Amino acid sequence: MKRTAYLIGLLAVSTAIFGCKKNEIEARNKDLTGSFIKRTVAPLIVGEKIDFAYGMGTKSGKLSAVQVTASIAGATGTLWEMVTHRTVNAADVTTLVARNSQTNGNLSTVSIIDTNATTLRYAYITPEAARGQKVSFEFAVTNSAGDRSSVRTPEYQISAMDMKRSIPLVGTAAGARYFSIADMRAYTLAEVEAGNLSAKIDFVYAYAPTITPGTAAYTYGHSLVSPAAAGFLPNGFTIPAAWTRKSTAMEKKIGTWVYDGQLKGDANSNIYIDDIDLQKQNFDGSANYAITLTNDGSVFMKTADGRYTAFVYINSVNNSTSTAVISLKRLQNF
Amino acid sequence: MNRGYKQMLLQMKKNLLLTILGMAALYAASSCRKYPIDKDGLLITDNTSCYMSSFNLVGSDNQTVLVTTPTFANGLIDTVKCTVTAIAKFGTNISKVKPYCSLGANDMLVEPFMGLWTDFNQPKTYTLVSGNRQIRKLYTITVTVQK
Repeated sequence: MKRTAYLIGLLAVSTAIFGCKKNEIEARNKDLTGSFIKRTVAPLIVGEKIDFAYGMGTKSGKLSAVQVTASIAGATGTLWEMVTHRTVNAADVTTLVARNSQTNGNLSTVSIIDTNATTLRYAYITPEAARGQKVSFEFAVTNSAGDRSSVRTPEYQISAMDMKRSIPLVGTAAGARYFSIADMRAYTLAEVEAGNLSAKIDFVYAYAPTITPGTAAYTYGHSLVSPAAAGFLPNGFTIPAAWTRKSTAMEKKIGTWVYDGQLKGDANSNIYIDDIDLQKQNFDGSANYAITLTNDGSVFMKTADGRYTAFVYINSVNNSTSTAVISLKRLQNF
Repeated sequence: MNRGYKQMLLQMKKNLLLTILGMAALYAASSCRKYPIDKDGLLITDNTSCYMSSFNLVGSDNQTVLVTTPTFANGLIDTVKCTVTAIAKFGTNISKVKPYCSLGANDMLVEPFMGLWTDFNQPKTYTLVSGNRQIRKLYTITVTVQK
């Protein structure tokens, strides 16, 4: 009796540990199998890639056709790679193993040339239609013996954020230093005046080694200042009197505490600002300026009308040219 | 023979009694004193120290905003008048800073808690409480921003 109970328990535990989803079992029972990994760990943002690697192998004949069906059709550029990757002496080496890579609507296909085991990469370019939605994929492979194996991914949440990287700011009189979060771009003085865009300007970029508001000089450096923030622009820099002066809430951070691997462009920085960070950021009592910014610094911002919350990252600053390069993620609140 | 055996038993009893008494005395001497605890589960000790030894303010970037850290040693903390005087750097958003301080003893308390976003546009007061909870000192912290 005890032995029976023990065996039943062992069977239950084994099932729990080694049990597979139905489609995986089907694949493994046959001589053909395929499995995927999602290589992208960053937030999934519209316009950005979601990278998968799909490994497959067959004991019957050769691999023939490979396909993936996305629940929401990918944007232009969604495609299977036709090469397989491997690393030799720390260098990425590719070998052509497939042909006829095509994407039509939700379906991306590719044909294997002549092998019975390989791994291909699939890049899904996140389309606008997927913003804030969940997307899933079904990978499938067939072999020359007529077997078919498929596996479905979990659903992945697509971010509602926008992202723009490496925007140059020039802190000179004629430079592009007037920034609109709605447009995610910097304008020059002439452009703002010509287009009557002052109501769109959320902050201005300025650089000066020091600022002298009274008799004493204080460190100023590279700064982002709301047009409404009085007394925080360097001497000689004034906002034209006729302009709309918006007050953008700002919360300054530094790289030691807040990173973003996507904005930094560093594949080894797997720390990211995600939708929830912008949703949860508290701006009660915030300033409307952020001064003395340096490389890797950052500022959470909320536009005066509350429409956008943004994370502005300082990629680099240059004192000698009075310039900075920034990147940002932006969430539209309504 | 019988009498000798009884004496030996008597001596053994004495030794055992002395050993037990000795152990009891040792236990009494070495066991920890049981201090009472307050409503927050913190020990109420005998300590009468009640002063602030240093003070700091950090901004939204978690960096100090003060030009000089006030301490008892540099005189910016007056433990007699119970005042702290600090100067914040130009550009500090003094409406939203987090205060921290070091205390004269580990078992002291500060009321209300520090480490919360606080508006220091006006002087703020904090009560320091000694470990024995018998001494309370009201500290006034004044911060001015460089202009």
